[in-house]
Amino acid sequence: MVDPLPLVRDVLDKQIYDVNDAKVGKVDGIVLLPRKGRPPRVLAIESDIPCALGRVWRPLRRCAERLQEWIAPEIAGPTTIGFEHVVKSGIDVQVGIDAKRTNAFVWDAWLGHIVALIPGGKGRGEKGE
Amino acid sequence: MILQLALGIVTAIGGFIDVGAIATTALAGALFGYQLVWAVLVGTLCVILLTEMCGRLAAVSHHTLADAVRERLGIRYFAVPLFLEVVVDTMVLAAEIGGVAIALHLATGIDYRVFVIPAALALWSVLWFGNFSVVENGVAFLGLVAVSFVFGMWEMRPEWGDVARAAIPSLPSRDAAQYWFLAISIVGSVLQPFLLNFYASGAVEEKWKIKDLWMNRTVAVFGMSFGSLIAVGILVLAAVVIGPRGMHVDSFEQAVFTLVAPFGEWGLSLFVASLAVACFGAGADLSLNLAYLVSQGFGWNWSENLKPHEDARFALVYSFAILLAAAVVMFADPLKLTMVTMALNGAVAPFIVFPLLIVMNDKAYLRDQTNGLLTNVLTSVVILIAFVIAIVAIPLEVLGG
Amino acid sequence: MGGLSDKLSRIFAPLEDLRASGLLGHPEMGTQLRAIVVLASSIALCGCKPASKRVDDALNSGGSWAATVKVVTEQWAQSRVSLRFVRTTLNTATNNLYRDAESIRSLDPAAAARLDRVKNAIEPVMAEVALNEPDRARDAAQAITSIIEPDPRLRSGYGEAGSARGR
Repeated sequence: MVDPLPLVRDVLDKQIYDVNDAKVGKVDGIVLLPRKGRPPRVLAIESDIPCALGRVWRPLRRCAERLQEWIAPEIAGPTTIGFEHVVKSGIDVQVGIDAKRTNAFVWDAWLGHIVALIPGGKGRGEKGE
Repeated sequence: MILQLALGIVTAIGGFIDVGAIATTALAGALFGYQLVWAVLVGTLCVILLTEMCGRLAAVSHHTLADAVRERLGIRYFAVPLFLEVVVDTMVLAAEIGGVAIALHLATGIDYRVFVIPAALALWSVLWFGNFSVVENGVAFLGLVAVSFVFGMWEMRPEWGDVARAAIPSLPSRDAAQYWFLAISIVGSVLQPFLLNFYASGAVEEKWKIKDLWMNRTVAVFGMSFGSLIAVGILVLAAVVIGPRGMHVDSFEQAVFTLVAPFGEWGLSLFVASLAVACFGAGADLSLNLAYLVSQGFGWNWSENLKPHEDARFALVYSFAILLAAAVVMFADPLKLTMVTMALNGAVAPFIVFPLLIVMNDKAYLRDQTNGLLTNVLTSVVILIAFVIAIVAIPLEVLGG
Repeated sequence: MGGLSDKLSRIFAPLEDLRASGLLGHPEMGTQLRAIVVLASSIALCGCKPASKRVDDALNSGGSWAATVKVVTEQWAQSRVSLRFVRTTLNTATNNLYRDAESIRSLDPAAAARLDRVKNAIEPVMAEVALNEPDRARDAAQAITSIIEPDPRLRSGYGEAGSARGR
């Protein structure tokens, strides 16, 4: 018998880590699939700033989406990870995939190009190495 | 291990004093003599309690306060302290950059606005090119020059009995609104909300574990206590030197005399160095905390030890914050800005401290290191103080500020 | 507010029940926004003081600057501060006195005129400073505190707290 998983307590708003222990984002939303005559199915977890802001106040979601589309329309959009990849929940959520296969780091990569133009911004690893 | 402990204490001492602590305690000493020593002590006791808890949270769970508040209370609650802290921290950052610029103005006579951009650039450079150890330990060591206030207090030989008696809260005989406004501002300058998440973030950066809990307690108690001794030193010096000569502290030129009286021609240099380094260090901490807050709130990759390219969003948050703060201080008087923001710190504190009490009793985070009964009672008292301050801070700002 | 008191009364409920029930999520953004607007308005109100208090504050500040000019010239005569710092302080004093006088001119012209006299009395001091004459600058500064007395509360307030055996 499988223990029930309290989605609000143990999944929503938690930090997502991938197989490499990289920070992927927070669980800003949970995607449910409604089914007629049956409980909804949990499809995926979502990490998306407009989604998070929309939970605070709905108009903020649209503002954030428009801002993202204006800044970089080609990369705007949520990071969605299928719920089948969630291997552990609690105070953190562990997913069993490499987040580089998703669009989780596109904003860091896109902004990283700007940062790399500034002296001292380039390179990998820790400062002082 | 001893070296690490010493570094931690030095960091706490050097980071305790900033433009807010200097301005509020100097003004309090000038206007009310020793009477507000108790406010420094109340603020110190509160900050020791709260920083120890934040350090314990980070060491046991490897989560910071911002992480835990978002995760435990949800984005709808977290949005409120996030917004308030971002606004207040940016204003305090502006005051700190202003403090550095004012110090350079005192040394050179040139208008402080000329130094705002260079000061902001220097601050940004230290964060961009330096790692956490450089930012914390390097600046904190330089900040030890502020210990000259303690030596100055000793040199001026105040009536120690009177100073000791002022440790007990007393009612003012005149100007009640101003007295209580200063009391709140002093508590706000010591118990700055940014300090809590910054302390926890630093503990995660330095990879504290359960075995480091004793160090956490020692740093919180001794570091903050020695730091508060500096704040008391400034207040006593202002009471002895500035007030009896009929001066207020309307500008930092007047505060300089706190160190000129005991040290003569060295006094100005010591004051300039203390103000510049204290404000620079606090500015670095505030900038980093803004980046920590936003990054942790949204789950981004963050660390001051990573190259900016690796955590671009984190690096750009502190860069933008410094830019915005520099713009603010070009148009605002740094001393007035300081006094307003110290009172606002008090108004924002309950939104930060209340969730800390909830998190510190959560076994999922703290395992067997949750708060005991005494700690919970003391924290509840701090929350009560914080709520009272939050309610009266704005009216007192109008009446007594 | 009824919704708020419900939430506060359940503050010690098990946290997961609290979150799952949506109570922590229920404050409408409108309520939160209103709280922020009230806070922002209060901050704006900080700039609005009663007129009499503004005049008193300006006069006390003027007295403080008069005392500061006296002290800085005394310290300079004893070689405890540099010429550059004296100039900086006198400039700041002049600017602050001008600003304070302008801020209360419409409220109390007589008080503003006193601050103007203090500002004008700094000019002979600045002249001696320009000539690098510390003793004469100190003597010229003595007259300033006769135009406007330093805040009398400062001496009595200090007396309540104690005294020092220092310099």
